[in-house]
Amino acid sequence: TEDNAYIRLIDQLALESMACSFNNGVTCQPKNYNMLDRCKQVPEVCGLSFNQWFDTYVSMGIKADVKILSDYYQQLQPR
Amino acid sequence: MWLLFADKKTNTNTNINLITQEPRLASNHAAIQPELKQYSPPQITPVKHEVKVSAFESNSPSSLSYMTLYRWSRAWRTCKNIKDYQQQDQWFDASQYLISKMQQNGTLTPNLPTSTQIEALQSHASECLEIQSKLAKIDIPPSSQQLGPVLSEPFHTTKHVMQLLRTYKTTTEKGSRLKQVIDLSHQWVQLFQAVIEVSKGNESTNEVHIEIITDELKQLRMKQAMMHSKVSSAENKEQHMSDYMALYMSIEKNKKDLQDLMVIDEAERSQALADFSVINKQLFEFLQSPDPDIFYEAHVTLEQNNTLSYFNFSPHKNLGMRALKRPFIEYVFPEQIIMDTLGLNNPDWFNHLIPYAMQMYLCELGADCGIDSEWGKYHCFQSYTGFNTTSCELDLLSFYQDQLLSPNQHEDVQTVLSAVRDLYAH
Repeated sequence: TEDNAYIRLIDQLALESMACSFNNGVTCQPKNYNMLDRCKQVPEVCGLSFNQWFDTYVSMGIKADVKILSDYYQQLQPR
Repeated sequence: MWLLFADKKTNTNTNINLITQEPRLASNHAAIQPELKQYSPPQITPVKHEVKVSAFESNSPSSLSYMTLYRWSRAWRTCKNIKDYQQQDQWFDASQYLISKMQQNGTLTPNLPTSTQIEALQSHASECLEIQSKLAKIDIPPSSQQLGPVLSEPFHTTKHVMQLLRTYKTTTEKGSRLKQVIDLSHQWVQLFQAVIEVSKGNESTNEVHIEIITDELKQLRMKQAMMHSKVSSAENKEQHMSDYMALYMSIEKNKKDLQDLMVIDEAERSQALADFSVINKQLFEFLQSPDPDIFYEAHVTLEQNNTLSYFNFSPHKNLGMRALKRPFIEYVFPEQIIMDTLGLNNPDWFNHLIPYAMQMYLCELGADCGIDSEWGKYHCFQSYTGFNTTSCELDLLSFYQDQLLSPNQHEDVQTVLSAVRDLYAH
C-alpha cells in the first residue's frame, strides 16, 4: 500500500496487538487509553479488551494486513 | 459484527434519514435497508469530460451551454489552491511549489517531483486561472443576485458559479435534472443551517446570568493568554502547569455553564426539522440516479464532509456536538447508513475504505476516472497526505488496485462498494 494514513492505522494496530503479550496484557485491557477512546466513539465497544474488539469489529482485510506487519515486526525482535 | 454480509439487519423502515429524537449512538435510528439485487457491473464506458476552456470559442452567455458551465464549475472545484497559483507579476512555478509541499510533508526525495507531476500541476494551474477569468465575465441577472459578505477566493468564484448554475437556462433533460439537484442542494444547505442555528438555543430566558458568565469567561481567557506566554518562556514549565490546568478547567466549566443556560425553542426546532426533512428526503432520492454528475451533486451535499473530495469519513463533523445546546443527531449521513447496513461500528477504519468505494462507484456510473480526472489529479499533486507519481500516469481504478491500496485493503473496499451498489444502483 502507499496509502500513508492506512499504513499508520495498520502500524498502530500491529503494535497494539503485539503489546498484549507484554506486562500481562495491561495495555490491552478495557480501561487502557486506546480502548477508552474507542469506547467514547462507539459505546458498544465499552468493556471490551483490545483482542475482543479486534476480533469483532475489524475487517478481514485489515486483520490480514495487521498480521503481515506483526509477523514482520516479530522477525525483527532479538532472540 | 463484521461479517461478509452474512448478517444483514432486517429493517422494514425505508425512511431514509429518519428524524428521531433518540440519540444516534443508541443505534435506534432507521437506516435504508437495501434489497439485495442480482448485480452485474455495467460495462464501464468512461465519459471523457472536456474541461479545457481553450476548446470553447466564446464565453458569452448566449453561446454557453448549461453543461459547459457545469463542467467549468466542476473543474473550478478542484482549484482550491487558486491563491497559490496567482503569483503577482510572476508565472506560477509548479516545480518549486511541489518541492515546497513535499518538504513540508516530509516526502521529498532526489528524484521528485517528476516531470509528469510538474506538467500536470502547471496545466492545472493554467486551467484554474482561465476558468476564473471566464466565469468572472458572466454576470448573474440582477433579480437573481444574492447579497452577502465579500468572500476571498476560491469561495467567491465558487459562490458565483453556483448562483449561475441555479439561474442559467437549460433545454436538455440532463441539464434540467442537474439544475434541479443543484437547486435542491442549495435549499438543503440553508435548511440544515436553520436547524443548526435553532439547536444552539437562545439567551432570552437567562440573559442576565449569561451576560455575567460571558464576562467572566472573557476575563479568564485574557488571563489564559497572559499565562500562556509566561509558561512558554519559563525555564521550569512544570511549576506553572498546575495553575494553567486549573485555569483551563475554569474556562471549560464556564463554557459548559453557558451552554446549560441556553434554552431551545422546541416548537421552532420541530418546525425547522420538519422543513429540513422534506427537502432532505427529496435530495436523498437523487442518490438513486445512474448519472454520475447528479449522484455527485446530491452526495457531496448530503455527506457534508467531502467524502467524494478526499476527506475522511468523520461522524458528527458538522453537527456541532460541542457547540450546540442540542446536537443535530437526527441527521444521518449517507455513509452512516452504509456503516449501519454493513453492521459496522468502527469509524476509524471505515474512514480508509469509504472514500475509495464511493469514487469507484462514481467510476462505474461513468464519471471520468482517467489520468486527468479530478481524483487522478488529487493523488498526483494535491493530496494532503503525500503525492503519488504513479497516479499521474494511470487511470484511477488501476492506480487504486495496483498501486495505492494493499490487496487486502482493496478487498475490503470491494466489500463496501458492494454495499454502496446495493443501496443506490438500479
